[in-house]
Amino acid sequence: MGEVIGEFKSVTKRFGSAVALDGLNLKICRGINGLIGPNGAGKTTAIRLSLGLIKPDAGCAELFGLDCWNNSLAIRGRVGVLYEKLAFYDNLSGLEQLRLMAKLKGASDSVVKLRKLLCLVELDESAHGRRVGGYSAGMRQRLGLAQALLGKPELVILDEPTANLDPLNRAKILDLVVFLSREHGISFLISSHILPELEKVCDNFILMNKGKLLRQGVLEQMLDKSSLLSVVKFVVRVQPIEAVAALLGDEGYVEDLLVIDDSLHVTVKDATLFKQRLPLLVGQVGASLDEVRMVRSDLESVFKSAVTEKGA
Amino acid sequence: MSARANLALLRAEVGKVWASPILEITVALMAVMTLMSVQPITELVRHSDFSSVFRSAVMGSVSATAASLMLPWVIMCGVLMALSFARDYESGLMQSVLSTPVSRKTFFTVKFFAVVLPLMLLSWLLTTFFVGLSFYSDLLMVLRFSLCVLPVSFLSLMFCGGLGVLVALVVKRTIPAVLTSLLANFFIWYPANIDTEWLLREGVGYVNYLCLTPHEGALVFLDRLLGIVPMGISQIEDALQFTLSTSSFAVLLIFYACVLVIPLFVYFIRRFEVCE
Ligand SMILES: Nc1ncnc2c1ncn2[C@@H]1O[C@H](COP(=O)(O)OP(=O)(O)OP(=O)(O)O)[C@@H](O)[C@H]1O
Ligand SMILES: [Mg+2]
Repeated sequence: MGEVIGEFKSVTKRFGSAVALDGLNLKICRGINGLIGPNGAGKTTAIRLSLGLIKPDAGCAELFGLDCWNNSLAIRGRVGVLYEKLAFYDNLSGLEQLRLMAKLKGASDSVVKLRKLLCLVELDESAHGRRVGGYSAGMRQRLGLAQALLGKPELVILDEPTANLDPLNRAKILDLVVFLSREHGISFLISSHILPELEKVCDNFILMNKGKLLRQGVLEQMLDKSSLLSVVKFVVRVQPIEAVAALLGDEGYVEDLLVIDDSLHVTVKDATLFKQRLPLLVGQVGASLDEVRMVRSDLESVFKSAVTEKGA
Repeated sequence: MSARANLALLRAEVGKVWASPILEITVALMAVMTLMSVQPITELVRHSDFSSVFRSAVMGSVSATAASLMLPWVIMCGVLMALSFARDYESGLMQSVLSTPVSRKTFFTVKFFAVVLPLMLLSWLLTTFFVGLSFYSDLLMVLRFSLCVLPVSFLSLMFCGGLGVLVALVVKRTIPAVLTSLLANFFIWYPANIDTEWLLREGVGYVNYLCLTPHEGALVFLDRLLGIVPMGISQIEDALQFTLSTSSFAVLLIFYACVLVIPLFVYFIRRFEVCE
């Protein structure tokens, strides 16, 4: 996990009798953070809270070391956000809307730059001058994304950014996120239900349910803590392959073992134990370990198991 | 935030609130209401040989004209303010704008004045125009009226706007907020429509206090600024309308202008939660 840029400490938020956040603890790190959880888990509430739109009933939320409620103005200057509920000045054109937002954010409102930004999020040039009120859902989402990227934010928060996009454009937008993160050092917090996508792009995951944190960390950490470890598969490239395969076959936690070409495909019940034992076994036969790679790093199965776990 | 940004936000808000057909409806409503109160007879009376007492009574109809003119601006202010705040809250636009470095102070002020200022301008232009139609031969009087009606309409609009915001921030749903605000503003305006003079002479006690209501108060204040004392009232010695000073009415109006807006402003910047 990278440097921590935001933290929730035991944050509780109620709406009447409904508890939206229930002593939530989480850390937002530099890089791309995936915020996942079932419907009603409190993801959007957590996002609103981090921008100072709502006040926690208990606990405190911080971004860049600043209190989200008391210093929200300073925070909002450094964060770009795309909400799941997209709202614009519908009587303005896409370009005018973006220009207005650029002014509000104190960013450059040069038309050339703004057009470039709109093209970056794949909003067709013919749409720039059209009324936002007439935009399709996907076009609105792109405009929202462009808005979130205005003015060199340090953190961009995206609440279901790809919900209205077709698969091709979803991939493009995610590529853009990775590019901006790697090349421009922008951190992201992305809430989404499309887990395989998040799995590909995120460095850090935050899994929550019923207003509480279930797990957090890089993908492997999430998997390690998961009770559903029986589904974890590894690809191991090792020389000589037969000797190691024979040893692994006797290990109790190994569910399945296959030799395909020059690599071993191992399905294990306990990934942690596997990763501890593997170097020892390799050492025993004097083999050389070239690569260990998790294959089914299945965020979806972690999600399912964690959410359906008792008490979760 | 820079003045340029504030101005851009104000322009966008005005454009949104007054987008077609709202502007057209407002102008039409105001024009219809005013036309109904134009009194051509006024001019006949003024130029005939009636006594000056009678003439001053007719002069009283300036404020009577303003009374019915007031209804559309009261209603539109309440409705548009509730619409502007509640719709933005419900649609998520408030959330979007308040996630940029726009302070809540700026946002509230801009939204409020995006409704109040154009309405003030409209009501000023239209009232002046139609009062001018009724009293065209006395241009000085029309000019004086035109000058006086500006602060009065501003103060009244602050009150109706405050009521609209209050309803919007409590109800938070566009259509219910608009209807509630419309009804609330109508009932608060209603006393301005009651013929206090006649009822006072009949000895109906509570009527004496109607001049302390926001809109009747505004009309009395307007009369005072124009130097008009309705005939009937001046004969009733203990009528508050008659005994209270002009400055008391000014203070009353300023009180009404602030009583809702200032607490709502403070509430909005300190506590209001945007969770939609
Ligand atoms: N304004 C509100 N009034 C009342 N309850 C609310 C409000 N906002 C959120 N809640 C409640 O808080 C809980 C968390 O809602 P939230 O919108 O944060 O969930 P979410 O994780 O974003 O869900 P989804 O994946 O469906 O978007 C839900 O039970 C919701 O009903
Ligand atoms: Mg949500």
